[in-house]
Amino acid sequence: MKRPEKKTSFSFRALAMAGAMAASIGVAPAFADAKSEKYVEEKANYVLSVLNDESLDDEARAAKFSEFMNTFADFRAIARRVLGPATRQMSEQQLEAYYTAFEQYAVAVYQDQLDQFRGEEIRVTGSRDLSDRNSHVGSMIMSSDTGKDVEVIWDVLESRDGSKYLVRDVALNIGGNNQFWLAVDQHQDFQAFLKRNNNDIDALIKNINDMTAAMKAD
Amino acid sequence: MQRSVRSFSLAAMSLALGACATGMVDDSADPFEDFNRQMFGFNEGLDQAVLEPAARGYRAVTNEPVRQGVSNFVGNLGEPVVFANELLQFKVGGAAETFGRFVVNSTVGLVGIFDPATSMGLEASNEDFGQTLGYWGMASGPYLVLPVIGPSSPRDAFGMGVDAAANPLTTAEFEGDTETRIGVGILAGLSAREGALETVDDVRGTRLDPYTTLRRFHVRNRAAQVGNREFVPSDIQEVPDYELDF
Repeated sequence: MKRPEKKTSFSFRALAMAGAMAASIGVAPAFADAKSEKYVEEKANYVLSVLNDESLDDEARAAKFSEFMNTFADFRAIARRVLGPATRQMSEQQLEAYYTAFEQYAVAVYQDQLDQFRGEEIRVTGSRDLSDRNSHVGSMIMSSDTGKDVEVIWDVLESRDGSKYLVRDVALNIGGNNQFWLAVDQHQDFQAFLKRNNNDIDALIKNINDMTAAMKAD
Repeated sequence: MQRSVRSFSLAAMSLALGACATGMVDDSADPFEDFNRQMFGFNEGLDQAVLEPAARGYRAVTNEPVRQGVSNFVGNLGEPVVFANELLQFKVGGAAETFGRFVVNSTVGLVGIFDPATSMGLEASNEDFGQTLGYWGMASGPYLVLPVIGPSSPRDAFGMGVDAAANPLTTAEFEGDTETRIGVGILAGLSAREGALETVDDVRGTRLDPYTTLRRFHVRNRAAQVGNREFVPSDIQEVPDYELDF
């Protein structure tokens, strides 16, 4: 009998991994749906190919992955989305400190998950238009832990000038229509922290940095 | 994993029965948050002092086939309960499969240590009385963190008590029955905690507020298991799209 805890373990890792790939999506031609599907498949599989590259040692792999993310990801938009309206109350200095902390935290989280996803491949299964520039692209990813497929959904937005796509969020389907959206999950996490710490942004930034340092030291 | 929770049963039942009618599932609802966080803190302390070190020790002195065998064995002991709950939910096909699994694994699989049933196409399922109550239309009630047991709800805590009471291993009388029950309970606990080592590490190491993450995951996971897929939209409504546009 399979142990359910293993499945749960994968779920958290898959969520983090999917977030890593979402953050790494970059430039592509215009038009939604078929092109956004191709876009997700190509970029996500490029990320996986980096993870699976046997010629790289762990450090080099992490560096290449980090470089890819930093080249293509709009971390500031993701960071704003995660923190929500609190960003409007922050000073310029706090905002810059938060952006830096969030980016390093995100990269560290994703790097922490690298080893769990070797040998996997994303297969796009279809998409659904939410508007003329926004669509949800469905895909499947094989879990190396359980050997089972997990559904990952990508919220893809085409830029106003049609010059590129950006993945704004990514969800893991844990059964039925039960979708865990990564940015929403992190948003809830950060909001809970702020609520319990008198909306102290500096404390939030410090904790993000502390957690990043702990992950790097681990 | 079977746990004796009879002490919670009456209180849980009265709360659960008062929380009827299914509806939208809200994973942010937490009316007993202060209490729950205290229990979460207690469980974290207990886990770090006792359960986690024991699970790591268990992993250190066993190999994967042994641990899988223990997990299979413990899981097989729970199959009669799964079978009963599938029948109560009119899942006749699933019940037949579970019955087949139990027979095959208890015999060919040497009292459940091996799992030939899965390779024969008899997939394991996971049904409990909390899910059965949900199937019948009973809402879970508020999110509740119980000491030692962890994330639950009045309905699920009551269901856990019923499952424990209905398990043949709990009620059967034989020589050394108490020692056997204790031994199986320890094995089940070790096996479950060992299987969750990476998950717990992930949550503790990457989340600012692990309590919130676990609550959302547990509430949604249980709702999905019951078949309730109507979730309160939890998008980040407060951030206008134009702020995220490009």
